[in-house]
Amino acid sequence: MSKVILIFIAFIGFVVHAEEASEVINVKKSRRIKLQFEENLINGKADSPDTSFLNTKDEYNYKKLIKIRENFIPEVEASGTTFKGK
Amino acid sequence: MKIFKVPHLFLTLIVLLFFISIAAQAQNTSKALKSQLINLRNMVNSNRCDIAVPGLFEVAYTSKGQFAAEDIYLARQWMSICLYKMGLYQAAAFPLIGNSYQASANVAVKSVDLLLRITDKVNDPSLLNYAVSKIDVSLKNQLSTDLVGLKLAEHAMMAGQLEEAERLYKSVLEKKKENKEALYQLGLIYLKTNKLKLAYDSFEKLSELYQKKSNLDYEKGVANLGLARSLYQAKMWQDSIDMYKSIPRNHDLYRQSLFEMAWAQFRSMKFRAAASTMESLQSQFYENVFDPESLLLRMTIQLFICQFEDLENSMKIYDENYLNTGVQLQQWLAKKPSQKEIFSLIQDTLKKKKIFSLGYDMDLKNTIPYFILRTGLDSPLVRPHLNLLESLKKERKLFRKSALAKNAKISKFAERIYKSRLATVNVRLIEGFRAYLELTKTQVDQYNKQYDFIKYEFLNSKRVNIKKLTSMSAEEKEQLNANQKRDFYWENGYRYWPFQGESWVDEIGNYQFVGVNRCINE
Repeated sequence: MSKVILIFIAFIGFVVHAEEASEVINVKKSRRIKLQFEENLINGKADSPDTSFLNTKDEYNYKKLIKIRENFIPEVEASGTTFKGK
Repeated sequence: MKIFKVPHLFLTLIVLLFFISIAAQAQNTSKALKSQLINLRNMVNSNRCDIAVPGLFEVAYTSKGQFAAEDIYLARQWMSICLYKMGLYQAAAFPLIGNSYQASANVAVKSVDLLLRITDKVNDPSLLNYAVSKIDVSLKNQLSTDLVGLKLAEHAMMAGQLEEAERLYKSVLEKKKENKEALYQLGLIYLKTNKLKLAYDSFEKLSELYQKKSNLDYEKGVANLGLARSLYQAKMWQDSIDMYKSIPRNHDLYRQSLFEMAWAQFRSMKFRAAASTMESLQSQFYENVFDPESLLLRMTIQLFICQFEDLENSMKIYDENYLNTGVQLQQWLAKKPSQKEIFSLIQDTLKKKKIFSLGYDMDLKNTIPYFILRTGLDSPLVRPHLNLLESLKKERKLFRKSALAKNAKISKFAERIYKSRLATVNVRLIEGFRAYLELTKTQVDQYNKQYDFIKYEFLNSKRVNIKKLTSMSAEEKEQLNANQKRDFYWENGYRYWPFQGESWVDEIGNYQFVGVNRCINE
């Protein structure tokens, strides 16, 4: 029962997060369905490591570790000359 | 009494006739000069610049009092129009500078208008600053509005006046909604002001203009990166990853897109995907690129998944390539190198880059690592000056090949302009390179601090892992080893690249990290 509640809470959290994100930018999705193979290339006997990665360093606040990139504004600025006079 | 009056009348008559003849002569000369000017203007209009420029030069610079001041300014303006048509932009700019503050309003407006067109061609910020400073508010409406709007907006951006720049770019788009420069710069302004939806919309409009273009198109790539960057800043990780993936492998911006995508993958906690992207970024193909940030990100990911062996290797690479770089830069900069020394360093780097591009190998021993110098050539502090220098040299070559170079006076005039412009831009290039090295030194110091932190966390995590391992039973250890075994992938050649018999350049972007999380849970 507790698992069902946890999954429900996680689902609600996901929906809320998705709604918040979609308020910011509505990305036009292609009508064609894309098959993403990249993440599924490795089909071995082992469990998906991504799941376990998520569960491991959860106590770890990585913001303290390195300077997190919040934006790529310097890169956008550097490419500015591309459209000069166009 | 009568006898006395006759000669007096006679003399008066003679003087009068003398003045009338002088006036008639002056009128004739004035008519001749006017017709000479009209002839020259007609030549300019009919693109006979080889003949028109020497004539206009005579009027503008060597006539000494024959022509009225306003005619001289007109001659300078027409001469500039001709030189502009011939592609001699720097030479064309010079006569206009005087006109912009000496001539009457009508001529001055046209001169500034042309000066702005020239700044657009040569991409010279100092010339732009000058031209904009000469624009009187009351004259703005008389100038060709779209270009002036763009140039004023560019000037406002340079001065950090984002609101003014936004207003100006918007007014340009009201007149021409497909202006790419305005769309891109508006996107940048919105990113800076954190109006991310507006930034995305602006880049989307820009990207739509390239719908029919190939994905390899450079400008299309920059527009799509703008979209991906807006999504990244909005923390919409998966959408930004999808957008980064739209940049093809053989696109010039592919490496940049990989680097940014790795960040997005890391932020969305897709550590395996991020680690795979990192394998491409740290491959030999990019070994001459100064990029400590991606190596630090790689180390962070390895730390997260307790891949201590790989992390030790990454730390070794960092030690060898970056750790001492800050000290090397500091020592070199502390000597206060002269402009001549920095200039020869730039020349040497350009030479080495050329030799590399031809496929030759060479000794890269240098006081400052080659990859720092090479990356510096493309830095925003250096690249614009290098481009300007290159275009100046090209223009001088073009002038020397033209018929105008045979005219001794014009040749002296133009050569003096090129000499002085080259000297100014060279100094700016040198100072730009010095600033780049100083900035890099500061950045390396900051990266080194982060590296120390990773090193500390590495030792700490390793200690915790060993402690947990020692407290495990034999059965638990066996189970752990079974979970961490990657024989399946190794046997299938999956270690770092999935290809067999293909050249390694093609493998960029296909590296697959198949390691597992080695952190031991409680």
